[in-house]
Parts: sequence; structure tokens; C-alpha cells
Amino acid sequence: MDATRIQLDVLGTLVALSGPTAIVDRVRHAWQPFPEHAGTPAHSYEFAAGSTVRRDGSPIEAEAGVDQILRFATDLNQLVLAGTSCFAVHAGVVARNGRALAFPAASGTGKSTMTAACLRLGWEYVSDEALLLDFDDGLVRPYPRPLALSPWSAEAVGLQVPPGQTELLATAADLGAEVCTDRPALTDVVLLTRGKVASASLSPRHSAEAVQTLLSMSFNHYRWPADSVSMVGRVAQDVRVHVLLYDDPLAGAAALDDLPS
Amino acid sequence: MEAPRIGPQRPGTTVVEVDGRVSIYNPETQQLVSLNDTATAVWSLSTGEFTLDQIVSSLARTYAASGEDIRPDVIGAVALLSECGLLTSAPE
Repeated sequence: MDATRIQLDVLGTLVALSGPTAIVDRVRHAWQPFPEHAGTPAHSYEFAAGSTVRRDGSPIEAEAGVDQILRFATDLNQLVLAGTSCFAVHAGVVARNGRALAFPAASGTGKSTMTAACLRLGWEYVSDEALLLDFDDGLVRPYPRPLALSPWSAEAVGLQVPPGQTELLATAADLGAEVCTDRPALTDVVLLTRGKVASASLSPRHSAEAVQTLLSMSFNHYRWPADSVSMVGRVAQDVRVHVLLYDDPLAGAAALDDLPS
Repeated sequence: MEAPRIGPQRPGTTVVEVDGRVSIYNPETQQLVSLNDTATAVWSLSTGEFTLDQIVSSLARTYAASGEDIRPDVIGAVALLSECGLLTSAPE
């Protein structure tokens, strides 16, 4: 069996991957926005027989039946977010014309689906996982990992999860979108509320809610609490907060087009 | 006996104001407290110079409301600020 080894730089986390060429090529394709590197990797992943993935020689724990690449994706994501020097918020993020929209939300509440739906409607892809704000200037640093879509989410945006896989790892290109390559400013925080409604609607909330929302959904504010509060307070001065009530994700994404730029 | 003064504000907190509303991070409790409009106004007057009655009077003028109507909100805001450790002293 052909074997391949590559090294990726994912927001400064340097990793090496080795395994069957078919699998490594899938990883290379899905993580295409991140450059390959020739430095010394901090961690090495090995795609072994069956569904086993080892990081630095130890198998990655995962539920039975989870695809190898999904195991890798979950583990790598944890490394990247643990290592970031940015303020990181659990959120989907899209961008257009230098402005970024964030959907802060817990897992399973629709942020990846809404992110994918926005990409279908021409927004640029920033992340389906984390809003990363740079402490120096408050601008957004893109983290365009492959979007992790459940079967329902994939179908909602016109994609399908391949047989035998629990989730689809989709690229921006799979959704007909571009990856955001600049550093947009966060201008809107959108709180997602999904329910049985005839049409999607946006309603404004007080901008101060951005402070509470971004801090409560942060992965790492506890590392630099005072700096995080100060930075979020600065960023929130120019952020609008909305509640998006929607049923169909594509209709919800279309409602976001009504936001004034 | 002289009425107690409210405050002063606990030093060392990180305070951010967005569109007139204040959020305060207390490093001692590691809590972020987001204040509503009344609590924001009470916080701004919690300098250790004013009594509860003086703050009620001030806010009654600001909001063109009666002191009687606004007093429970002010008492609630002072209680919140005290419970969250954001004042260095609290009224008896």
C-alpha cells in the first residue's frame, strides 16, 4: 500500500501526518487553506490500520464508528485552539467585504449549518468552529478548517455524507465559496434561534450583549481574563448583535443579506 | 447616625462600557457581571460619596420617575454589586 507523509502548519501548530496515500490526500485536500511546512513538527499523526489514528504514538480516543479523518480533525482542532494566542470563541464565522459575522453557539446548535448556508449564498469562509480575535488589533484571524456537517446539515445545504461516515468534512469550495484570506473586522454577532417559523427574521439586541456572549462562549478567556474583557469591550464598540429566528438554514442565511453593511 | 455611603468601587476590576451599558470583570471572583441600565447608573454613582437616598434621588431626576418607584431597583442594583464583590463596602 502506498504511504505518504506531509507536514501542515495550522495556525502555528506544526503537525506531521503519515499513512495511506488515499487518506493523507483527503487530509491535504480538506486542510488545503493551511500551508505545508518543512520545519520540525510539534506533533506527529499516523493513520494506522482500521480506524486507528495515533498522535505521537498514542491512539486517539473516539467513539466507535467515527471515521479516521474525523478523529484526526477533532484532535487537531483541540491542539490548535489550546495553542492559539488569539482570544477564541466557539462560533461559526463568515465574511464579506472586510466585515465578519459570527454565530457564537454551543456544539449541535446550528452554527456549522448556518456557516455552510452562508457560503452557499456567496459569503467567504472564515471558520465553522472558532472566532479568533487578535489581541493586538481585535481583527479576526481566519481558521478555515473543513466544515464538519452532520447528515441533516449536509443535506440542508445540498451535500451528502458519504456512506459509512458519520459526518461530512466539507471545504469552502464544496459549497461554491472562497476562503477568507484577509483579516476582517467583526461587525455582527448573530444569535441563532431555530424554530418553526414561516419566514426567517432578524431582530436587534443591545450591543453590550456581545461582551457577555463572546466571553461566555470563549474557549480560553480564563488564560488572560482582564485582557480578554478589555479586548472584547473594544471590539464590541463596533459590533451589532442580532437574533436570527429561522427554520430553513438557507432562508436564515438569506435574511442576513438584509444586514446593512 | 449618619447614613452609610455606597462604595467606593472595588479597585482592580476591568470595566468595559458598550453603548451605555457596563460589564465588570472581578479578578478576585473571576466573574463577569453585565449590568442593566439602572445598575450601570448605580455603579457610576458608587464612589463612596453618596448615600442610598442620594442615589435614589439622583436617578429619579435622571429618569423623571418618583423615588418610590425607583428605590427597589436601586436597592437591587446595590445588592447585586455588593454580592459580586464590586463594592468595597456595603450599606448596613
